[in-house]
Amino acid sequence: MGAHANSLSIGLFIAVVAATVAITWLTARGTRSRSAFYSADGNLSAFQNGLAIAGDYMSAAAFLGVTGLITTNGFDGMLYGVGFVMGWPIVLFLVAERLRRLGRFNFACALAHRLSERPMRIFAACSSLTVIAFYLIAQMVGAGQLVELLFGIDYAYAVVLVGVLMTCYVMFGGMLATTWIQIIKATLLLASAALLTVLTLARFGFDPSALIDRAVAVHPRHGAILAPAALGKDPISGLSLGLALLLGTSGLPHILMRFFTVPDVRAARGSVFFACTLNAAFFLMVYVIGFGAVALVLPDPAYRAAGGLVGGANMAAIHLSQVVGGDALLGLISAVAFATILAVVSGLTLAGASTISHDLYARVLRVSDERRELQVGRVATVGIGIVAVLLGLAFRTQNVAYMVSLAFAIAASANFPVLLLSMTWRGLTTAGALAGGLIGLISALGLTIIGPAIWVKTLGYAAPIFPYDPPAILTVPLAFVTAWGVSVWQTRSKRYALAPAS
Amino acid sequence: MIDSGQQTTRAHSDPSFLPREGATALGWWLSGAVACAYFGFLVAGVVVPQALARPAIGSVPWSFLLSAGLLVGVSALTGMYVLIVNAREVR
Repeated sequence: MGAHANSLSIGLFIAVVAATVAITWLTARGTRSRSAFYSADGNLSAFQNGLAIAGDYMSAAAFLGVTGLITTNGFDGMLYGVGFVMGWPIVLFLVAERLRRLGRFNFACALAHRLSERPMRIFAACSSLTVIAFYLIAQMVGAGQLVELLFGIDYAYAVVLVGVLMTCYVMFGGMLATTWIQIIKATLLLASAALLTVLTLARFGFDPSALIDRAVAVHPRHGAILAPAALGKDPISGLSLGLALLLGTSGLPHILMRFFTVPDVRAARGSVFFACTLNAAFFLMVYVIGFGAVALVLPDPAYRAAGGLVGGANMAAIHLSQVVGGDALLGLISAVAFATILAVVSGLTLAGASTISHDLYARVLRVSDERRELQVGRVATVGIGIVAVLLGLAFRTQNVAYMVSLAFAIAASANFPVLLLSMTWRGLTTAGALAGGLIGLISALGLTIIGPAIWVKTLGYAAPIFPYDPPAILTVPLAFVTAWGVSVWQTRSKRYALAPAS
Repeated sequence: MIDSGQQTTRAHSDPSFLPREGATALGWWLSGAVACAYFGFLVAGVVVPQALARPAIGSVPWSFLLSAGLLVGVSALTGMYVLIVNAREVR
């Protein structure tokens, strides 16, 4: 057992697993049709869906990763929190309504509505699976670190445990189980974060100024933690990250898929409002938790290890819970953090499985047997589970919030331009959409690989070939311009071909 | 050529293809406003980071106050948009 293991945290951990398995068992009988598996038959209310969407966003990266970033870098970590919420109005104003009107199960349905179906489905599947892979890495790494630290289970076994559980939820319970697990987790996480916030503020007599004064006094960088530092050092990367977070939400397949779980467009709009408000409240609490960890955890020698905090910076929120609430709160927060990871990886897995079974199997290969499609969806779930475990093992040294920003960059560069143009610009052709989307996907992926995050930190080279991370500031405009240029060129050459020779 | 003229015609004659013009224009304006506010904040972080670190209320600096303002502001904006557009749709 690890240093933090206590009977309460182990009990709560087992209760979380038992509750999620029970939900899956209860919902499994209702998940017999394709519509139930992909979209819970469109029967959720705006509030339920908003809570589930907010839950998808309040991931391990958001809770543990952002708190960890605040603990190490101060205000720079808060920029992630703000960026995560800024994406919601864009989803609402430009995407959600049109998507709900045009689509059926996922965003590829909206693309196929007016563009040539097969190529668009294949493109949507490739880009969705790439985004999901990056997002999954962050969640699996968070899960492995957390379970290893709290329960002393080896990192590799922890990652396998999460992989097995998420595969079971999705395979048997589909969207309904995934959504209910997400709703329960979101409620638990918001309540626990509120408790942690109140207990942290109570240590400072509910005076935010006292909390900030203490954080500034004990942090090695002192007053510098109150100003954005990374933005000044590398403004292009900072603005690029801002762009990726602003537009990336509108291209995340597991978020877009949720707009089909409500009955109509009005409920889809309402879902975004609830999701935005709950996320904003959550990140406001994360600020207090992050600076609370600076003020209360950093100076405590019990949590200090050779390279920083025991278990890494991502564990700052967990340590803070023990400081302000003892072993009881530690047990609660750990169990909730674990539930968070399970719920988010399930949503990602479902989005990945649906793109394989619906976009590729049913629509590209034109197999109209619903039962076979569901079987393929379930087999795909197992496949994604295995890939997720392997990715979790390969990327264990990365900061989790960072990996999510890469997923956002790819979503903003590949999915968002094509989806937005297909729904708003009548001049878009299939060739234009494909060219723009593929250029966005390949450039975002390629420049990420040769950028600082993978080329230097993972592959071990001395200097990156492409200096900006994430590459969204270059790749998003590139995707838009390519889609526009190819569409215009194609339409003009058609017109010339049809014009009578004079 | 992958695109077919038939598909484009089908989509353009489909009444569900685009929402009403008013809602579309409002959506673009509000998206622009959110992007300006957010990037304005980020650019302030690049240009005058020290000004953001100065205390605004007690020891709470401008950086905290403005970022919290952005979070509360976009929540209020999405709420108002949903109320207005959903009410307009009922009429």
